[in-house]
Amino acid sequence: MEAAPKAIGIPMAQSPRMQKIIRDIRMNKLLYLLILPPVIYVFVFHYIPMYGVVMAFEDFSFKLGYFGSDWVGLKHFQWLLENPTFRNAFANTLKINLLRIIVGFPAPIILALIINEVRHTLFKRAVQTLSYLPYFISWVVLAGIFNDILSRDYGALNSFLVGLGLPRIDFLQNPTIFPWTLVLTEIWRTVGWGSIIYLATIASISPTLYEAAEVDGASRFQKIRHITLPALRSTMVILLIISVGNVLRVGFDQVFNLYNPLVYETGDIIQTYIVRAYASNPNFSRLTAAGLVQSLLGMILLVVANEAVKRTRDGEGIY
Amino acid sequence: MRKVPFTLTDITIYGALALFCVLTIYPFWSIIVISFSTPQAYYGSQFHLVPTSFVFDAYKFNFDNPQLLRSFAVSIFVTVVGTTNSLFWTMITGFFLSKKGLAFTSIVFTLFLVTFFFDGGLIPNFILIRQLGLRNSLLSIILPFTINPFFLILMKNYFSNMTKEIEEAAIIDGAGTLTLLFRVVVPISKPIIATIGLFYAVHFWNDWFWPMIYLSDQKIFPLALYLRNVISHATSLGVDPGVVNIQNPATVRAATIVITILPIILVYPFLQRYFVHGLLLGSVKE
Repeated sequence: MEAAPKAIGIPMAQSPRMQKIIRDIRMNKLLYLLILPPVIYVFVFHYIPMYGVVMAFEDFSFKLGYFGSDWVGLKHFQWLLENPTFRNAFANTLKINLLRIIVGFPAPIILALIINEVRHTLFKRAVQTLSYLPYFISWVVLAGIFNDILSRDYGALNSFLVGLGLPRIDFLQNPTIFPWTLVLTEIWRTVGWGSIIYLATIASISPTLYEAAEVDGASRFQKIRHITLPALRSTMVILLIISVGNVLRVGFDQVFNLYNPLVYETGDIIQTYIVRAYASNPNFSRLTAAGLVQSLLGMILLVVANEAVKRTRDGEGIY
Repeated sequence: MRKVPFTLTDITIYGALALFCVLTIYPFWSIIVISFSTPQAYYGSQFHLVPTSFVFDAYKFNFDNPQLLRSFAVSIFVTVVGTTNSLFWTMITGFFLSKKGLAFTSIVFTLFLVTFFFDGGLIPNFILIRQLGLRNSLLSIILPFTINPFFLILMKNYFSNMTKEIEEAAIIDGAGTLTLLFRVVVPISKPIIATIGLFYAVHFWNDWFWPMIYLSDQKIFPLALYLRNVISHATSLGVDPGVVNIQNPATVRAATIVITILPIILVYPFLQRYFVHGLLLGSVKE
């Protein structure tokens, strides 16, 4: 074991840069030894699959592998673009997420503003603790629960509507309603969790601002309008942009567990399209192409979003 | 403190929040009520607000099913092993990345950052697992999720923010790398470790998708996948359809749901107080 470091060290010792690197490794041997497994991990479990996307441009067969399969260029992408089911899924992905952002974005801000007006600390804390909880429950469970509550004929919500003299709403099987069901149940799940950052930002506002406003005779709404909301502005911008960047990565669990063939027209998204096709008659190359369309769009949106964050936050991005 | 009068606005605020709490709790409450109902009570009620019967039939049915017990054990195993593995390596990597002046820090950071933006997707991951011979092994749902790049960035930022001065002092005192990490850095980083640990645990506990893709032997299905099959009425899950006819499927399903979410609800209150602190410090870049 004595000879090994010397053998590596001697022939490369010429370049001063190399010398520096070697000294660095020698001084931090243990650290580099510890980082080795994570680096191997990231190569095997992330970079090999990443390389695997070349199969989107091939007619992949297991026998021939990534290197031997026939190169077919953009054939699969062309097929997807001409396929009505994929085009429908693509359009739905954008539509549902746009709706989610427009309707869902203000919800946690409003919740945070309301919670902040509560004066009893115990009640405040209880509401907060409770409000985070649904975020940790999976959509498998929630779909099991909501399928009961939202059912057209026996669901509690429809019984409630009928009790008020209102018409029944077919939340889960009417294609026009279904995207709204997705958006509203997602808000139900995430609104509390989303309010954490806003509440923390509100807590950091200097109380002297409010005291000064009180002396000037400002009402509660004036204080919210002129102190709290301006203080939240930069947080809002950042979170809005992050949610734009995340547009294409969220929602699969929810849609896949809640949708059914009656609402494919408005509920099917790219990921559910891929998984359904995978379960029935998988053309692996074509599905990888579909996945690639999804990742590329998501990546573009995230980079654009981060650039926008940098502009609004004095050159600091989210990563 | 000055006494402020309780106004109409206050009443509206407290009322709105009370309604919000009711809306948040109701879905869970109704499923608990249903799980303890007799079939008659289930069909006799629309809202399941007040339990009109209290029987353990649905739970007994669930616990008499060996598959549910097996799946429960599998989920416990995957969650404990997966969370420990993920937390350990995320801490090691976060610690490495928080070090200033190492030759390879930025290269390693870039390596992980790229995985935040881009992944191969379903099929290439499936092919990898197949080629590694991990199909139908629980390793297939643990190993690929060892380091989540987003949690890694939170961990790294937290470490960089917390440790600068303390670390220098510890090094002067002659602490080695491991002593530094586990005796100095970890104890003062409890909030971020609790937060990220909970995230990992929730991921492993809730994951049904990758098990569905990678596992074919239903004996090692985790609870979430078992539940999904119960809910989507799949026939392949090992519940004898004849028995389901005797029992009421709705109350049995409700009991399965309660059993699935109970561990999260039990652990959650102990960890949630760390969220705010952990998330805020982790999301601040120096």
